[in-house]
Amino acid sequence: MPIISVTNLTKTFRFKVKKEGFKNSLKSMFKAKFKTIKAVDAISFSIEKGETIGFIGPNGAGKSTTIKMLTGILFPTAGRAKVCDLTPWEKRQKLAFKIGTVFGQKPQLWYHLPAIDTFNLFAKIYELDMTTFKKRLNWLIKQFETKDLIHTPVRKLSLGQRMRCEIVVSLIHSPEVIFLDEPTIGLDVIAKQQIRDTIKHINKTEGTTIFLTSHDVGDIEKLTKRTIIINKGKIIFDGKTRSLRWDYIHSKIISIRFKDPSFKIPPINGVKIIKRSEYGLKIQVDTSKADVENVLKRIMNKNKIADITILDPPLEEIIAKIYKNKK
Amino acid sequence: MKIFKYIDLTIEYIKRNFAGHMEYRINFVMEIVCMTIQNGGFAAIWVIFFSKFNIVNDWTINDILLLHAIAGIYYAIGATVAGGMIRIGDKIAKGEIDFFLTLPKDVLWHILVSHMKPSVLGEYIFGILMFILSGYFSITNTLLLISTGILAAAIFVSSGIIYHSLSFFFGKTHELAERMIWSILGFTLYPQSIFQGNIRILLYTLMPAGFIAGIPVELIKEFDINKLAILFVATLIFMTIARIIFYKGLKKYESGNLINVQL
Amino acid sequence: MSQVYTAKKSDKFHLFRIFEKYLEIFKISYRSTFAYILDALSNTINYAIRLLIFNQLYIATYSSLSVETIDGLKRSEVIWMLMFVQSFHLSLRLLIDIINDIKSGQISVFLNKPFYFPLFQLSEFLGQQGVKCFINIIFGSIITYFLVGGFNFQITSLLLAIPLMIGTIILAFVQVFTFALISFWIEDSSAIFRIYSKLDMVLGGSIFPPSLFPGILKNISLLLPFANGSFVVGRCIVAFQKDEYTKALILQLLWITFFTSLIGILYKKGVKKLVIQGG
Repeated sequence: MPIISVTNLTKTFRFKVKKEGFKNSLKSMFKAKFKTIKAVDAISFSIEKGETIGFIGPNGAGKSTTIKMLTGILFPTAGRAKVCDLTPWEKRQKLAFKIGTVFGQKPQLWYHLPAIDTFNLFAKIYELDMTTFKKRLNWLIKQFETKDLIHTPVRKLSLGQRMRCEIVVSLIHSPEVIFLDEPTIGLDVIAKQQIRDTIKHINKTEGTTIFLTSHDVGDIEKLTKRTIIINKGKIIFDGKTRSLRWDYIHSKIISIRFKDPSFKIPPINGVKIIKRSEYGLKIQVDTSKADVENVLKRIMNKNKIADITILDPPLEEIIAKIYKNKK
Repeated sequence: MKIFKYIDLTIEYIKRNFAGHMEYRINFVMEIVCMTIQNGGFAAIWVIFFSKFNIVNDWTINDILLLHAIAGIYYAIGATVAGGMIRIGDKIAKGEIDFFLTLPKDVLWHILVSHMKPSVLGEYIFGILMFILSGYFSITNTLLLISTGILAAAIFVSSGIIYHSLSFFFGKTHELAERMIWSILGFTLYPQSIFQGNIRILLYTLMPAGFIAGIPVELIKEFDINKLAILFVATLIFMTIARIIFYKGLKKYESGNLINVQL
Repeated sequence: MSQVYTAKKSDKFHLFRIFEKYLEIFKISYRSTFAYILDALSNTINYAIRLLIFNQLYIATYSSLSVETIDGLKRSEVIWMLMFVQSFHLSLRLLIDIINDIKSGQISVFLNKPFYFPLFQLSEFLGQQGVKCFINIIFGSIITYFLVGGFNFQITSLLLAIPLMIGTIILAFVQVFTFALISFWIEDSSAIFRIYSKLDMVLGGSIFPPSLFPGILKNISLLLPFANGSFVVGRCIVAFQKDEYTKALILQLLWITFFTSLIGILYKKGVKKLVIQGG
């Protein structure tokens, strides 16, 4: 039995459209014009227990709306969904005992107090037995290396440390599924890696189903085995994360800043120049045709480099490719 | 029993809220001092007023002090147990209700206990001080003060919930809600006997200052079991209406068609 | 190479340019305040309730004493005077804004602009508060007329009140600004200011006019800056008395001078401290 099953889930929003200005405000009070937006358009998927799912899409694609429906915060316009065998918007409080949530932008930990206080509070909210809770908490703290952090007021922790504690809090009641919405947002590369490792660890040791949304393709690649891409309310990709890379992510974007303005770039097969300025260069390397290391070596042989940044192509490009391939 | 769990959790929240405020010791003390001076300022006006006119409509300075004692106590109790009331409208506007929806506890209760005004201690001190100075201090009266204080706090908080819940239905009204709540508070700081005619109706319905301050003062000056019963019934009615309106609004929030909801 | 444009300095009179500068700031300020008309309208509910409560209070007071006038003032006159006081207060919001500017170092942005920071703030203040006050008085008058009827309106009293009105706004500003400047030295002067504005509430006649204060308290209060703000404006318009008027004018001038000199000293010292510490 899948732990999450979604069938033709749809959400339409209807709101007043009003133009700027005082006169128009008066008008809209009497004769309102409505606009409907289909945020989520009859999506279907099912997730088995223990899976790690990346749920990605550009802004406004319907990600947050979908998560809200799955966690029972929003009810749909049409369609069905079941999480842990409960309909989220009907049995919200009951479901709350079985799921955990981590929202990157909306913290659960009390800001002015040490994390341990929030942990104890949540233990009571989730009606846990205190002895087993303490054992579990100690185990979680050990797993996530947060022993030194939990007695410091949360406001004094760095963002990365805070996120680790947030994840601990979401796992206190041993949920069957955790929903993470942008958990690595604003974190540096090292902190990101730590968070990804902790989430992976929990999935391995406890079989917790992971439902992750992120803007960072790196999160998805490193953490999930399956990816669902949503765009304009529809699912346009549902498959192995690996094949996402193999089939659609064939390039790297490299930004280089040179020490001298008179830099020279040899023509290299598979390298396309995107932007060029006095001291800088942005190139796209087709990784099926050229090797990033070799390309950089050749450029560095002829020029003095001040700075290099290597990025994955943006999500929008991947999505555009998916559309193209579909045709 | 479920209710004991909620009482237990409420106490936990009060402890946490308090601890959170105590983290900023200087600010904490400053808030209390400021509040006391603010309340004191108002009382000072009355002292000046009554030193000019000794008695107005059967009211003396003692009665005013008693009134202020009740105001301090009901406000303090409300702010301790349901300090989050003042934030409901704001949370609705910012979509912050989601957080409470994902937790396995009653949403309205959770929002109320999640916050406590830092100056609450000052309000208690002020209220008790006024009570002692008023000359009405006695053991029976103290019991009356506490019990009517609790009932009055419940009505005050319920009114606040009702006004703030309008944000579920009408969008940017949370400033208006705050104004209405302060107005109710304002009405409770004046002797209810000065209000005549149609205003009296207002003060027992839309802005229940009559129940919050009027009746408790009358009860302490002269106990009447009927009045206490009326107060009790009024409390139940207001609490029920508040719950109904809030949850109706929450249903609307969950359907996502709010004017200001952040998607 | 693209053309380089330099803005030429205006040919007008130096003093006139200065005036124009501050006028422009005033204009921008009041335009943005008008955008909050809806907010002002909802503020009137609050205002109306307050006036209503006062009216009830004084009906009870006057009838309880069975008199038509107290200390020469009719009940309607008292309510009108209270209306004027209620329409204009020392603004905490203004204090917080100025303090934030100072603390955030925003003030350093202003320091290298060719105008005097305090005057800049004053123009902004006039724009915002002046307009708000005006709106308040309009609405307040409608409500008060509805509650207690009119008063013995004399056009001369209104005209004579104009210098007092200007004085009130300037006096309010210099008081607030003085407290703002204290934050060059103290972390958060808004707490002290709150205490000060409580004094203003008690002695400034926002609920009980100083004219009705008992005995010696009356004499003292009428000398303090609190009672020489919007209260004297109200008293001048509603129940003009030559002696009180002259006294009010002189006292306003004295208090404005006092606070302005304080500001001069504090500002100079404060900027020095800022520049040395590097903001």
